[in-house]
Amino acid sequence: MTSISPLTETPDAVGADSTPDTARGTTVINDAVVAKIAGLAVRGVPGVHALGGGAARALGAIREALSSTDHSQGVSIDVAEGQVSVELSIVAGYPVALHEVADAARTAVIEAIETLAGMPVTEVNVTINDVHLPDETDEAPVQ
Amino acid sequence: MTVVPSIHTPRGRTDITSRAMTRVVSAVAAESLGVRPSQVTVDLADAAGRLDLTVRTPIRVLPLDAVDTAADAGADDSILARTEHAQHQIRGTVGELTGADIAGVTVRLTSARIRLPRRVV
Repeated sequence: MTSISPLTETPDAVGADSTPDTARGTTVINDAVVAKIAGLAVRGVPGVHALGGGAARALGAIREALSSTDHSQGVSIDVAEGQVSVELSIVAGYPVALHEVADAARTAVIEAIETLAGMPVTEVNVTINDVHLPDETDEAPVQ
Repeated sequence: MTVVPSIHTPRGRTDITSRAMTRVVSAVAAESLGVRPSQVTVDLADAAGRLDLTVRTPIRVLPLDAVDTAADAGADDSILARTEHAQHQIRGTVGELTGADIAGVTVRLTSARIRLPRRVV
């Protein structure tokens, strides 16, 4: 796992005034932190039902039962030269326009990482992995 | 495995897996024909870069002796008319929700489920 230092030109990060002076030490933001930030940001996007593929979600359900939720589920981060690229795997709700959900998720992730971690995001690739249909227990009414 | 071509935006691309696509199509088809999404089988095919849909589904019909008394609009249209309506709805709604460029929609009715409409009191 690679770790990198955030940019010195932190845009509007919390306490931009007190950005750690490199002369007085380094700040390292671990990849796992960035992934978690992204995961939490996506969770709040309307139209996103869940994160991760089938296996990840099955494991996630078990983890949740043990109250150790993996907040970075469905998020994979790649940091190269201080720039972040993100792969998101999401399950959308129904009926929502999938591209709007993807765009909203992308915007949320970029905003969260750039604001909270102060690292520039080059790209966020979103895969709509599945769509969650409302409860199928009842037949749809005749139109 | 994606049938739908990915959409490129300045800051990353969006992919829709065929599983997600299938789900959306079956939900839309089921809604318009009055059956459950799980009863609908969907085949996705590539038609020169566009998406070709084949939907196999049962249709819900009224018992013959109830047709005259049924007050539900739409339910007493002919099966062909309802299927055609569903076909248009699938094309429109699926295109809207997924952004896919749909070449054609084939609806095959596999069976008829006879069931009374729910009475609204």
